[in-house]
Amino acid sequence: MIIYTKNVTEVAVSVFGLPTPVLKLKGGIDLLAHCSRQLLSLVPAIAKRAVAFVAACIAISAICFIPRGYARLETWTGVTGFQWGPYWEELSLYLSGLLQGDLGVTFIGTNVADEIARTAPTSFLLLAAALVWATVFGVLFAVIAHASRHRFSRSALLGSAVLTISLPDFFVIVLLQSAILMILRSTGVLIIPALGSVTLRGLILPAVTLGALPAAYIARIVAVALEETEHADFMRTAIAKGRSRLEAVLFHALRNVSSTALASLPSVYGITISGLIIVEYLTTYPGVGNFMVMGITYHGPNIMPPIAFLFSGLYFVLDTLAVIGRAWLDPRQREEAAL
Amino acid sequence: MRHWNLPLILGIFLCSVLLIMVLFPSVLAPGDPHERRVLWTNPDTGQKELAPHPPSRHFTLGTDNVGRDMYTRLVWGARFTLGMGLAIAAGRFLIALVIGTIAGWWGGALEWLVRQTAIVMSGLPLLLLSYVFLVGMKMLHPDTPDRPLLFIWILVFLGWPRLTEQVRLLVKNCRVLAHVESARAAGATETRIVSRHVLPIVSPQLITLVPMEMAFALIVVGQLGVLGMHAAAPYTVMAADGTAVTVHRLPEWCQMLGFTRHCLGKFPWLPLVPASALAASVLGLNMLAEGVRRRLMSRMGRGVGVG
Repeated sequence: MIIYTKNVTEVAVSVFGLPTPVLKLKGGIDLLAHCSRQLLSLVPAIAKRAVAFVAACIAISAICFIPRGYARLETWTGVTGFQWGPYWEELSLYLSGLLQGDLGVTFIGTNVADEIARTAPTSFLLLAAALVWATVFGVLFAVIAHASRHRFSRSALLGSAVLTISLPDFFVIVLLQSAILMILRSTGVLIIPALGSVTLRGLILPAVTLGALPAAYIARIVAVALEETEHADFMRTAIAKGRSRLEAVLFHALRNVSSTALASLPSVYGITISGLIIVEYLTTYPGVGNFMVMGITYHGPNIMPPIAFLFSGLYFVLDTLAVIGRAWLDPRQREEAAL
Repeated sequence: MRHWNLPLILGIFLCSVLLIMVLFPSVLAPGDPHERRVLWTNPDTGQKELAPHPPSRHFTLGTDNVGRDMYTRLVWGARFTLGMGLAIAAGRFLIALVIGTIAGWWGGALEWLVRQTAIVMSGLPLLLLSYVFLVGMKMLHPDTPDRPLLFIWILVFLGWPRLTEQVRLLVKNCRVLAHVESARAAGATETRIVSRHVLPIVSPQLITLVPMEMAFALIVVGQLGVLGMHAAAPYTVMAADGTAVTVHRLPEWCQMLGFTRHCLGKFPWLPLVPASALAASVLGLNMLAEGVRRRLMSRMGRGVGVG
């Protein structure tokens, strides 16, 4: 239940005729109470995601210990001394270790936690760059496509977004890399490095390819939502007031569709996190995904569950942020968010 | 003005090409996909050349690093890769249709379970999970038997919750339809209502889900191929007389991509050809789904069909 602060202060003024500083203080307290009430209404939504995350962690651990093929990996790397017990024993041992904050050791003797802490920040950098790029570019793309008057240019722009969605990410990377190399071969100019690194230039290719798919998704979602506001009253009013079409879309329609767009963002983030592994591996970017694929043979299976926890935790955090963002942007969603 | 349904046209075109490749590979590529030409005399120059041979008049798409014609391998590999995608999609559909319908219609504990499983699984990247599974299942080891079957099982097992949730929602939305109510009023049993009045209503949407699911499966299979997990590995078997015999690698797109991704700098056609083939099939299937969806929507707009 939401009680608006404005009404309470108005009542206070009319009944008690309070002096201004007291009134201001009262207003501030009311505002604070209002905000905390808003936050409290989000608690069930956040708690639900936290429970889902814990369930996901247990599921990952259970899945990681189902296969019994690790003994063979052990002999490959020449490391002995790993004795694998029965399934339930292994699983409970691992989970109890997890509760004490122990992620285990790799085959070469290093701490899994250290290895993850070493590689995770570079992955986060790439993910953040890709998501920011994808969101900004996707929304801009949708606005331009929507604001363009010609039917042909609009369908061409939206068609290219649909085309990008339909292409696998590895194809986009391989294509871009070969294009870069072909230009290098013929002209001797390296536009951007064909492999990723933590420098600004080295970040371009992985971030662009990782963000291409979510950008196309966001563009499509926002464009469809904008299409629905086409004949809304507020748009007609804005245009009647003398706003240009682009201005009306930017200042009036976009705010209205933002909560719809945010609702579908978590699934987009899920795809991005999946793509992170492929992009990192193909561009040899020194992040978690690359570490996982390169290291599986000599670091052993212990590195798998923490990486999966990391990715699924990231997904649920982004999901929660999307819920909070929706509640912040759209008053209609505030009560629904609690569900 | 007439609206062209471009996605449908593109989808049907690409999918029919793929279908011909799957059904009649010998028509498109009469050569042998396993024939090696490591040292090959170029008839144009008369000189001996070392594989891989670049795309030319003799090899449309070039050859791989032991001189096998890429085009022939591509055509013969369609059967394997697309068959796997189809098998994964079909397996998921079978599970989703049964469990999703029961959960959506009768509800109860099963519905709760399906919903929660879908929520939890949505937070886990499918690629990561299947990779974990395949690593554990000795997929890295070459002589694991039944690799394709193992592959299909794992991807079906990990991918069904999302699809089941979709089917559940479709079926659940049918509960309030007028003709379902009238069927119930007429005394039809629940099973009869589901089979005669609900499933036919949702079948168009289900049909559009099939190519999309197949495209989705193909993307994951391709990504796993990039990471070095593919169903068609070279493997050595013991012959009857005790000698080791190396079985030829099946021409499979994901394996072709996974093995040659390092060659991008020097021999770009090696990874580009299988990657483009995978991209074209994913694109074709997605466009087919999109085109069918548009067509159904325009038909519904004219008042034909319900739901």
